Order: sequence, then structure tokens, then C-alpha cells
Amino acid sequence: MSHSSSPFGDGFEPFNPSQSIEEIEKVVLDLEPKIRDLNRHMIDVLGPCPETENGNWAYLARTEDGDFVIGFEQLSFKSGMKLSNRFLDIYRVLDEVDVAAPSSSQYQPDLGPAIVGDAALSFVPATHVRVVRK
Amino acid sequence: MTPDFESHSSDWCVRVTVRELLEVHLTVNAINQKVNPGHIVWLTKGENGKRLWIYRDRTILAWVTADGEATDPSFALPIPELFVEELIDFVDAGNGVDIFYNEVDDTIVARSDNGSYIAIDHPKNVKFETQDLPYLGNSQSDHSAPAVAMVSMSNLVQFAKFVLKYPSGVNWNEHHLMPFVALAIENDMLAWTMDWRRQKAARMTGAVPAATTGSITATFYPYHVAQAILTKDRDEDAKIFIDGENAEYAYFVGPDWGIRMLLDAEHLARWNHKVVRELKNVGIEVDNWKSRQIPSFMTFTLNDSDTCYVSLHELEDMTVTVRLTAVLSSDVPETLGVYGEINKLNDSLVGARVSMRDDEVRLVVEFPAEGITNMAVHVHTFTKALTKCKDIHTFLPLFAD
Repeated sequence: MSHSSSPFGDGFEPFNPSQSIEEIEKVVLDLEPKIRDLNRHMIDVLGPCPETENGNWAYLARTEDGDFVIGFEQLSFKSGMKLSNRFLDIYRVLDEVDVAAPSSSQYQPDLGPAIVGDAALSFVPATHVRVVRK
Repeated sequence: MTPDFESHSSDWCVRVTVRELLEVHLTVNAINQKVNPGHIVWLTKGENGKRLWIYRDRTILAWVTADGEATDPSFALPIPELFVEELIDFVDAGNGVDIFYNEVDDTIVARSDNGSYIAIDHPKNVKFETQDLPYLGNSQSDHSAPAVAMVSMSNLVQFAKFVLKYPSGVNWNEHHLMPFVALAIENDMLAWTMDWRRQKAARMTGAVPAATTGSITATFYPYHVAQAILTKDRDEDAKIFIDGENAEYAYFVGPDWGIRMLLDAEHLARWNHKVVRELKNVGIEVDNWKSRQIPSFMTFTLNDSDTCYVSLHELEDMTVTVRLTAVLSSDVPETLGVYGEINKLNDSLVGARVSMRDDEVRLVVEFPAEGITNMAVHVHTFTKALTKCKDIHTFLPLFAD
């Protein structure tokens, strides 16, 4: 029986970049920035994923049919319960300010990061300063 | 005694290629406005592990990306612009150079493959700020009307060369601020106009084909952008991105470079600072503004409580006027009675007028921008009229019906 490392079970496999050049280009130029944006937004709202070193929630995956899809990290029960509480907090905040979720037709993502590409830093890097030796 | 560059070297080292150094050097040279001897270039790690060189000078920021190495540090290393220039001569053709930090000497050191060294003092009191990020999203924007133009570099070079062609015979002492460009993205064209009429020359317009999304017209000071574009390879495409009418910046982005340029209006750049200065000379401080853009209006306070506005307006004949405004009353209905009272007030005012706009009654003093040297007179006219109109908010509603 085949075993998949995807949280979605059979039919999903982590993306293997050893494919054609065209596919790699597609991932780098198109899909990766979107996954990055998704992770940025998820971390903003949910905090970093407790199961990954970099805090990312989503990753690029591929089906057996060759379609690119978004995979989400598996969570332990403990982390899953924390996430559930976090969703409840968010619901309360949204309910309080009476924010209507925009419909998909209204939602306009910021095109800037995708256009700027590798230079679109999502954080301000620390400045290198003099090392003071004691 | 010769210095020991290697002792106490940092545990990180960045291997830099000649090509990226050249790209950075040409870009910095193109946009450097020579106003600050302490200019620095930031070296840091971008998304996807790319190496990122960033240079900002007043209204313009440019970046160059290069392939990074896994060992590249993720902090932002400040490198004096002078050092980058020196590295170009220092590095052997075809080879690279190692850059690291000497912790005892507090110097940034470069080591060539033939065993030569150069070092420079680590810049002091510098900090990588939010403004140094290449992309600054606009939190005020709903991103609903972005405009993007994909244009070949050969066509973008046409734009750059066009911008850098100056009419001859212009007295630059008289016209110290050169024209801004009006850049338009629309209908699969990238178009631009340079208006030299103020310098007694003509307007010139150019357009090149582009794959466009959305439409927009924006103005900015174009000369450093043009010079930077001319340093780039011409066999690729570039994107121009402006995120709607309220965008602060225009972005010009190539495969391994980018430029962020602040959008501003020429008449504001010509007059705003002079108006602020002349108001200060008569004891009026305008409130600070948050945007990096030159504001189209500013607020100030008179009589400790009256909030007033000063704004600049360009007319079709290119003359610019300064307008001092006070909102006398709001939520005023448009009735014959109200207009009758406004007319009566105007009959008694000299050099000022009261008018209705939307549901507000406003007092305005307006004069040609050249008249700011008589600011004391204009402010006196304004304050005198304001005193005369002081009770309008109480009696005007009586004429609402």
C-alpha cells in the first residue's frame, strides 16, 4: 500500500522539483509568491504554525494528476485545539466590529508583492551593528 | 605594521560577484544625488534566499537582486557607497570578492582572490528602516484600481532617453526645478508627456506599446529613474506598477532590479516649501503631515482654535494660486435665505470671499503663488475676514427655510 506524507492522504504528494524546467518556472514565478502571501496572512491572523520551524502553515503540493495544490500542515491534537480557540477569538473580534467578510468578487489582493517578487520583504531585517567585545 | 584583516573576522562571509557589484555601482551612480557623503547601500537577504542590494536617496529607492548563498546573513549590512565604488576597481576581472566584518577594528573588509584587502569603517548610527523596504504596501489603498504596464526594455529606454533630452537655452537659475513627467498607462500603451512650457519650450509626448491592466496617470520627478533605467540590460521586459489614484509610489521592476519612485505633483514641489517658509515668517506653523508625498493641502491653527487650511492649485494656464480656507459652518442647507446672507457678507469683505461648497460655508483668500512674499498682508486679510464672519455658524441656520 502506498503511503503519502500529505495531510490529505492518498492522492497528494509534496512537490518534487525534479520535473521539467517549465514546471519549476511556473512554481517560482507564479505559485510560490502566492503561497508566501498565504502564509504571511495566515501567520498575521493565526500566529506561526506550531508544527513547522519557519511558522508556515501552507506549502505547495502536487496531485498524482500533476495539478499544483495548496497543502496544509498536519497538527497535533493539542495544536489543533489551540487553533480552534484562536478561530473563536477571531470570530469574536469580527462579530464585535461587525465586519462583513468581502465576497470573492470584492476582494482585491495587493498586486505589489507579486510584481516586486524577490525584493518584497515581509519584514524589516535587523541592522548589522558593531559587536562589542567584553 | 600591516593590519591584520583576518583576525577576529565575523563568522559570516558574503561572496560577491563582479557582475552584481557592477549592477549595484551603476544603479547607485545613476540615482546618487550627491547630497550626503555618508550614503550607504544595504546588503541583505531577500525572499527565496535571493541576495538584495538596496539604495535609497530621498524620493527614490532602487534595488538589485543576485543569487545568494545559504550562508548569506539575513541582517541588513550597511556598506558605504564609497566602498562599493572602490570594490569595482579592487576585484579581479571574472572573479569575486569576499566581504566580512572585523569585530576588533569595526571595519567591513573585502578580500580578493589574489590575497589583497581593503577595509572601511563600519557606518555608525545607521538603521535599516521601513522606508528601506523595496515594496511599501499602501494601507490606505483597497487595491481596487491597480495599473500595470508590461513593456519591453527597449521601449522603456525610449522613455528614459526622451526624459533626458533637455531643450537648449534654458536659464536654469531662473527655472531651478525641471519638469515632472506625466506617465499614463492605458489601452495597451505607455505614454508620457514632458511639459517644458514653463521654460519657454514646448510640450513633448511619447508613447510605446505595452501590455496594460487598468489605467492611470501619475506625475513624478523622472530624471534619476531615467538614468537608472539606462544602466539596465535591454533584452528583457519590465513592469511598471501604480496601485491606484492614491498610490504613493510608482514601481519599475525588471528581472533582477527595481526602482521605487515617489509620486508628486510638480506645482506642489515648486511651491509647497516656499509657502511653509513664508507662513512661518509670519508666525504660522503648519501641522506636520505623515505622508512622504508633498501634501496638496496643510492645516494650521489661528486664534488658538480655528482650524484653517492652506492649499496650492494649478490652473490650466499653469499659474499656481495659494488658497487660505476656513470652514465657517457645516451642515448648512442650500436655501435662498442662506445664499442671501452669504452675498451680504461678501459685500462687506475685502480681498476675501465666502462661498458654499457641498453643505459647508467657507471663507477663502486666494492669491497667485508669486504673492507669497506678501504673506503678512494675505494672512491679515484672512484673519480680518475670519473675525467678521465669526458668528456665521450661529445666525446662518436661521435662514435655512
